[in-house]
Amino acid sequence: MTEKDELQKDHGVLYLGIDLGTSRTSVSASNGVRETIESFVGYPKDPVARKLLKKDVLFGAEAREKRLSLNLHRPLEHGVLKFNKDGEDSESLRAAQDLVKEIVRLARPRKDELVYAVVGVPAQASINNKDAILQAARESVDSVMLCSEPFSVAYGLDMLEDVLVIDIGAGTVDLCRMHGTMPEDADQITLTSGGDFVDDELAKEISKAYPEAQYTKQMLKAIKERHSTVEDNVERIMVDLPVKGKPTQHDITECMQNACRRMVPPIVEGLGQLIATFDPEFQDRLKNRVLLAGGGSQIRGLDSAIQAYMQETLGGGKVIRTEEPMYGGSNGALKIAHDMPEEYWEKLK
Amino acid sequence: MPDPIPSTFSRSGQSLFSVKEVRALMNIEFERAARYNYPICCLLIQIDRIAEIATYHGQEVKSLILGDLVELVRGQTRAGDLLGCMVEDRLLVVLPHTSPREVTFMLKRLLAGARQMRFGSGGRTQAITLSIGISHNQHPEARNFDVLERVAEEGVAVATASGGDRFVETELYGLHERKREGMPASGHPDYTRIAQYGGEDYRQRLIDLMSTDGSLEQAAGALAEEIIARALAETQSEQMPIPPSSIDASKEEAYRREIDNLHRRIAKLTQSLGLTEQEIARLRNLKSVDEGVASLYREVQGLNPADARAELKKDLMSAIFEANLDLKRKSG
Repeated sequence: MTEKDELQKDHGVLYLGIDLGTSRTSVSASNGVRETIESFVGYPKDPVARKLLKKDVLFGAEAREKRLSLNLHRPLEHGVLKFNKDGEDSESLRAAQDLVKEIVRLARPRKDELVYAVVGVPAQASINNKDAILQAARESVDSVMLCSEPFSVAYGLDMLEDVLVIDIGAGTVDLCRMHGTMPEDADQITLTSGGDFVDDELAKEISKAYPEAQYTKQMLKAIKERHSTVEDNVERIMVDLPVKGKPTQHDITECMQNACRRMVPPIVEGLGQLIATFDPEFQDRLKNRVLLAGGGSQIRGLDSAIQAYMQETLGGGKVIRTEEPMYGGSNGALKIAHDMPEEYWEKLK
Repeated sequence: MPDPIPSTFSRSGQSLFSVKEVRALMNIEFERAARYNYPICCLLIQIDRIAEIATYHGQEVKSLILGDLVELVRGQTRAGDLLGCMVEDRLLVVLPHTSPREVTFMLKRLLAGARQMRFGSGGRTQAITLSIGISHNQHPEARNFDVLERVAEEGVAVATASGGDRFVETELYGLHERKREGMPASGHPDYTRIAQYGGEDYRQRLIDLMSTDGSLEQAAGALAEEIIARALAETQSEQMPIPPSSIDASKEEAYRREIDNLHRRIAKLTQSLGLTEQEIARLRNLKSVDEGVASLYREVQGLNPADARAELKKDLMSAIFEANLDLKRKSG
């Protein structure tokens, strides 16, 4: 943001809560706008593609659909910015910056308003990652802060004490223990068994059951988002997958159930760790306040499956599913932005 | 107040060019007509006794009459061919693709139309008449637009001197061309000598020679030599090398052509700029410029002190801020 821009910003303050995710990036804004896009950023491969697409950069579903003409990026992998052996991946950083710019644009800020943003980052993001995300965000807003994603989900629901948050994203599953203070490293666990993990498991299951079936990662992702379930009694999941070029119907019910169920044990084990290291007096209370959030929480029957596994391994527990899995993180980040005192924003400009 | 009469006019009513520029454009039009071999007519229209009218009835009446004249000419000419400007209370009009024969029909209508124009002053109604000089590019000596303009001016002068309410074509194209090409002036020795006989009776000259030389045979011989010399001088004058002044004139002509070309280029660029601006305006209208959605808040909010957990949240906000400040310090 330039000094000139700031001088003209006398109309008001727009707060943004941004959930910068591996699969989706969402924003909730204090002007009532809520938007979400797939975290894809694509750059035309060559001048011909640029001329054809008539754009220098494409985002979200459009980028995914036209990926054959693009250098496609998912700037965050496993919940963090991609790094190469020499340090940060400049392409990913650029893609992250463009993605943040785009999500800010989608929030439709007025030119004469100050824009203050809180960005939710994975619980155990490294310093390097946080710095890179800050760099990406500073390009587009006047002042920015980072906070842990599971914390922002809990803050948004005003559940600040004795709560276990499970935030299931595409790249990571963040577990966070809330006990009335800022969660520390010991209060947080990040697992890599998120949505992408389920995709990989589903691919393994399908290739085992139907070796001749052809599919791509994107196809499996779309199938998972539509049919994912851990429930036993469900309608058969029938999908068309090409076999030697011919669309053929396959029953992938068991494949889907098996793939989705594989994410339950690591989550419950993580919860067990957080519970076991908590004050024994409050462990039962913590077990009975497990909050399930994030895009992955939309898997049918997941709350019941986690609850059942907790019963089996931890002797009990109660899981509550958030009402808005897509915007839980961004809503919480927006609430943090709203409650942040002015002097803090000023100091971080 | 009457509407001011534009120094230039077109069908759009816009005054885009100065008189000089209009003349330049007319030159271009003339050259184009020569290039594509189509007829072009030039009219110089003057309202008879316009100076007296202005003197007796005032400039306002004169302006009104000139305005009416412009409207009359507009009404009697085609939409595409009118390009004109006011030159010292006279209207200069160029009619491309119009032959001299065709233009006479239009001129008759113009004269008739002018006679219908009336102006009232001091309880009296007076009629208007026009003197019109015409010229065209169909004459072999009409080599540029300046010639057309001069011939039209002479036409106006002749028409006015003849009582007005008429159009005249003097057809004195060649005269002007010879002047332009640097014809020997009357002081030129050969021409002076020849001019001595211009319109004189050769017999009188023979008598003069006889009185000097005494012999008819010698006088006849001398006269014959003079006649031959005269004929030779006339021929030489036609083939005379271009004097320095003519070289200057040719240079001037080259400059004028260059200026014409530049004017033409300016006209094209102006047109192109106009089209570009129109397109930008169109795109601007098409593009829905998103002003954004205003936030609910005019000021930075902060924690609500009435919140039941205000103290706890204050600590949490402070912790988030400290962590971010620390991150900012570390990242430099």
